[in-house]
Amino acid sequence: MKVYCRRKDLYEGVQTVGRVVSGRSTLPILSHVLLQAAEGHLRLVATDFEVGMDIAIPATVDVEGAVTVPARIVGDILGSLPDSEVALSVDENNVVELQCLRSEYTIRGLPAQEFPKLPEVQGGRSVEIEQALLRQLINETSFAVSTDETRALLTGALTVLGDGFIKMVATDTHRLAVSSMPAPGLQVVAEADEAEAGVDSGVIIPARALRELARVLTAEAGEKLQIHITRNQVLFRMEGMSLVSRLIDGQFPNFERVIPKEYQKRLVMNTQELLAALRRASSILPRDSANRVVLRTTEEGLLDITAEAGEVGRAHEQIEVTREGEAVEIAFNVRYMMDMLSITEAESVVIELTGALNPGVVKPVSEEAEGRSYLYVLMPMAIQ
Amino acid sequence: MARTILHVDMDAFYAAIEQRERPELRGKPVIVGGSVEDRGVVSAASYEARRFGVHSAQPTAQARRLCPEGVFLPVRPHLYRQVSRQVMAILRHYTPLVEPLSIDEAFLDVTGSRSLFGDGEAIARAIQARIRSELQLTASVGVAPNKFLAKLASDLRKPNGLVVVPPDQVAAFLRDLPVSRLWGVGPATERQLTRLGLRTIGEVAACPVAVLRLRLGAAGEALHRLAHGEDDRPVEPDTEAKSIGRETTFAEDIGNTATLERVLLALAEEVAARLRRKGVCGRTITLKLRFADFTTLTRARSLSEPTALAETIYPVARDLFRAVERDRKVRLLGVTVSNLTPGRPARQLNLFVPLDDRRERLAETVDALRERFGDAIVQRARLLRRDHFR
Repeated sequence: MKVYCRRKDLYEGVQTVGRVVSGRSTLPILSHVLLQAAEGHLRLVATDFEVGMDIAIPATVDVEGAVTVPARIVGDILGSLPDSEVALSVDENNVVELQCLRSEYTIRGLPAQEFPKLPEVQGGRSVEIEQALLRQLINETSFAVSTDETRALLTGALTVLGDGFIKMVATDTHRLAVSSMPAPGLQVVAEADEAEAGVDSGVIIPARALRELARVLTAEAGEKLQIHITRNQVLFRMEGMSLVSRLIDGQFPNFERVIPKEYQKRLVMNTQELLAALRRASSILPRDSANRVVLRTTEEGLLDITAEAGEVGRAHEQIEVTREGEAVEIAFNVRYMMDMLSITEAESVVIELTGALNPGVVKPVSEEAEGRSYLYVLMPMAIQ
Repeated sequence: MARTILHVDMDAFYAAIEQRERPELRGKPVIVGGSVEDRGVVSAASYEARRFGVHSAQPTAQARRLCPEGVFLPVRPHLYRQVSRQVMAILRHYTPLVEPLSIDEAFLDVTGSRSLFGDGEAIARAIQARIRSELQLTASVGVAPNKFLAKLASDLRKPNGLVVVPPDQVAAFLRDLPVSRLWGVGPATERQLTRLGLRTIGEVAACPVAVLRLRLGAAGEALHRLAHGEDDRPVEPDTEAKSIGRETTFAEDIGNTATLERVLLALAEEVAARLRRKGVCGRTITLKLRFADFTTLTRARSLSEPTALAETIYPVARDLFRAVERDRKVRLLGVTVSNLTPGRPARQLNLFVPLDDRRERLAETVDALRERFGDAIVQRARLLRRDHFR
C-alpha cells in the first residue's frame, strides 16, 4: 500500500473513527484502525463489536492495500504534525511508514485480514432523511437516556421508522423525551420477514452510537442520509461515511402510558431567562447532591425559583411567567430541566402541570410542521 | 478554659453481657471468642477468667489450656451491638459530643454540660449509675482535661473504676506511669526510649525536646507534648463518616456461590441498617473480595440516586460479585457504601413506578423492632441460617 493524503483529513478521520475504538479491549486489534486504500480514497474503519464506523477520505493511491494501525498512537502523531501532505506506505510485515515533511515514523501494524468485518445490514426498513433533522432528533432525546449500566434497555433510544415519520424516545425513568420528524418514503423489504419482525414497533439504538453519529452529521439543510434498520442492526449511511451499530435487545417500556393526556395548570416562560435563572441557582447545589429546585408562582405573575443546600446556602431567582390555572408549587431536578432547555431553540417554553407529584410536560412553543413534535415529560421530586 | 473530657470504657463488655443474660455464669470465668476448631481467638474474657491469664486476642486453644474450667461461648455480635447502642444512647443524654471509639468505649466532651449536670466527676458517677441500673453492666470512667489523659485514667482502676485527673494534678498523675502508656508508644519506641534512659512518663517530660526530636523525629515532639499531658484533639462525634462498610472473614474459605451471596445479603443488610441509623444515604457501592491466597480486589459502582436500603445495595453488590472471575475459594467479603449525603434522599419520583415508600417504611419498622427486641426478632428467610456469618 502506498497513499498520499492531507494531514488534516487523515487526522480528523482517525479521530472520528477512533472514538468507537474500545479503550481497554483484550483483543489488541480492536484498539486499531483499519486503513484501506483503493480507487482514489483511503477508508478508515474502527469497531468495538458494538459500534462500527467507516469513513473515506480523499487520497492519491499509488499502490492499493490495507493494514491496521494503533488508533491512539497514530492519532497522537498526526495531531502534532504540521498541515501538509502525509505519505503512508506499508511493507510486507505490516510495518507502516508515515512521512510528513521532515518527520518520519515507522509503526508496527497488524494484518488487515485479522480486522473484524463490519456486519452486513440487509432487509428490514429504511428511509432517507435530512442529516440536520436526524441530528436534531438525536440532540433532543439522547441526553435523557439512562447512564445506569444495570438498565441496559434504557441506555439506548427507541427509534421508530413509521409511515411518513421517524420517532426517537429516550427515558431514564425520571424523564422522557419524545421527538418526531416527518420522514416520507419509508421502504420495507417485504420478503425479509425475519429481519423485519418487531422492527415496526421500534428498535433500541445504543446512545453511544447515536452520539458518535451526531458528531459527524451536518446541521445544514440539503444533506441526506439513509437509515436502515433490521432486527439486530442499524446502519446509517451517507456520502463518505457509514456507521453500523448493534441494537439493544429487549422491550422498551410503554412510554405512551406515562405521557399526561391533560393538564390543570400551564406556565409559559422565556426559554433563555428560565435557563439562565436555573443555571445560576444550580451553582449553589453541590455536585452529586439532589439538585432540587422548587418552582412557585407568585400573585404578581412571577415564578420563584429556589434552591437550597444545607451547607452552602440558598438561591432565589425570579422570572416572569404567564400562568393558566391555579398557583404552582413543584420541585424538579434542575439538571433535568437544564438538559432540555439548553437544546431548545424556541424562544418560549410551556410547562403543563397537574399536581406536585404528577409528571409535568415541557414543550417548546413553536409553529410545528406537519409530522413534527417534541415533548419532554419530567417527573417531579418530592417536596418534603 | 479547660475542657472536661470523659472516657467511658465498658468492663469486659462481651463477657459481662453473657453473664447478664445467663445469671448462672456470674462469678465464673467466661471467655467469649472463636472456637478452637476455627482457629479462633478470644474476643473478651470476664475478670474471673483474666485471673487465669486469659486475655483478648489470645488463641482460644491457649485460653483453654490456661483455664480449663472456663465457660467458652461464641461471639454474638448482634446482641453486643444492640447493647452498645443502648450504652451510647445513655452517653448522649449528657452531651451530643460523643465519639465512639469502638463498640464498648467512647469519649465525651462534657465541658458545656457541667452547668446542667454538675462537674465531670458527677457526670461520670451518673453515667456509671445509669449503666448499672438500666443495663446491669459496669463501666470504668476517666475524667480529665483531654482525651489522652481521660483514656489513661479510665484504664487505671478497672473494673467499675472512676479516676479523675484535675488540670492541676496532671504532672503528678503522669510522673510514675511507664512510657508504654503514652499514646503511640509500642515495643519499638519503648526500646528507643529505654536506651535514652527514659522509663517513666515523668522522665520523658523532663527530657529536652531537642533530644527526643533527634532520636524520634516529629514523633518525638508529639511524645514530649503527651508526656506533659498536652493533647488538644477534639472529641469528634462520628456523624461525618466518609463511608460505611462491613466485612467478614470466614472461619473456612468458601467457594459456594449461593453461600457467598447469602453473606453479601447479610452484609448489605447490616450496612443499610447502619446508614439509616446514622441518618445518611450513599451512592457508591463497593464490593471487597479476598481470595484464599490473599489476593484482594475491590469493585465499585455508583447509583444514580443515594440509598440506605438493603434491597438496593444487595443487587449491586451481587452483580459486582458475579462479574468477578472466581477460580479460588473466598476468604473475605465486604460491602461498603460511600459518597454519603446526610438525610433521606430527596426523592426523585419515577415515571413508571408509582410513588412507593413502603420499602423505606418497612426498613424503619424493622430497625425499630430490632432496636427494642434485638436483631433476631425479624429475619429475612434467606438469612435464617446465620451460622455462616458472624
